[in-house]
Amino acid sequence: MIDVHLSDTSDSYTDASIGSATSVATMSEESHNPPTDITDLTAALEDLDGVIDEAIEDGYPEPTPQAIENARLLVKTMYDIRPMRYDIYPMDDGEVVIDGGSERRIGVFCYSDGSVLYIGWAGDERVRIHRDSPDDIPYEFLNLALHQLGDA
Amino acid sequence: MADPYAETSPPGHVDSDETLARSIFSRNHVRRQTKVTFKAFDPPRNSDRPKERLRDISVDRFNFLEEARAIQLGEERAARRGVNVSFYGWAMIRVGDIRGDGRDVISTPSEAEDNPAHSDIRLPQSTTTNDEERKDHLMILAECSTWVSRPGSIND
Repeated sequence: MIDVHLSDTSDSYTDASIGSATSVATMSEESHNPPTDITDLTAALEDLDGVIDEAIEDGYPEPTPQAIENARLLVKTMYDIRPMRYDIYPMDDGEVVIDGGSERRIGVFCYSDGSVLYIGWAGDERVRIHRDSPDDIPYEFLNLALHQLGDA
Repeated sequence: MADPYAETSPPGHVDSDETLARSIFSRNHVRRQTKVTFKAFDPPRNSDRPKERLRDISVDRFNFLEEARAIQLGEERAARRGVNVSFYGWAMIRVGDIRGDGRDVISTPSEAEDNPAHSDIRLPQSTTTNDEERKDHLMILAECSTWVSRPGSIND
């Protein structure tokens, strides 16, 4: 796992704070009320259904089924934390990207090998976290980053 | 030998108050006519070194282009990319929002396009081999961008 800050490499969050893994199961045990309006989630999943066609149209490698399923899992997790309209699209190495926010963004890149890269803001710090498995979700980072995206 | 650009060229230094325009040729690079995607700024791969990326992102200095000329440039570039490629509009971004964290903007007039307002957003050298860092910079650029569809677009 790596945590890297674009703006300041001298002061980084530790594994114990931002980078620590919290499973979806653990989240469910916490005070967790799933959103009742899933209109935006449905739209994001419709994006996901189109990623192979979009990859072909853009001349990119087709995302693997694993990348697509990881994106499906993670966008639902993110929607539970912060209901909003996430955009999902392919990039040129066959990743599936979950793109949230507007003036501030979070990017979750689901690679074809099953690993996941999280990039976003934690306060005024830029944070990157790479996980080998989608099950190893940096929940604390997601919670912090998603709640500072503003209206999107 | 006289510089043919001497009288018409914008200043060599790109000011932080200037606005740059990245021409967009894929409808997939914009979402819901409001949001520029991360891939809109993705520099192409270096064909000589397939694993490495180029780090210069082509843009125009919009303060030094007439709108009609900017549209013409977009249409000419689309035509060079292929018969089915269209020019959709621009991702607009302020120079002052780009500079920092190793990013810069440099004036790169294009004689081939007869375009003295051409410039490049230059990413740090490390982004040619560090994919995660490259993505991070692309996200910042998208974050600071505003989508402007070309005049006359059906989406106006």
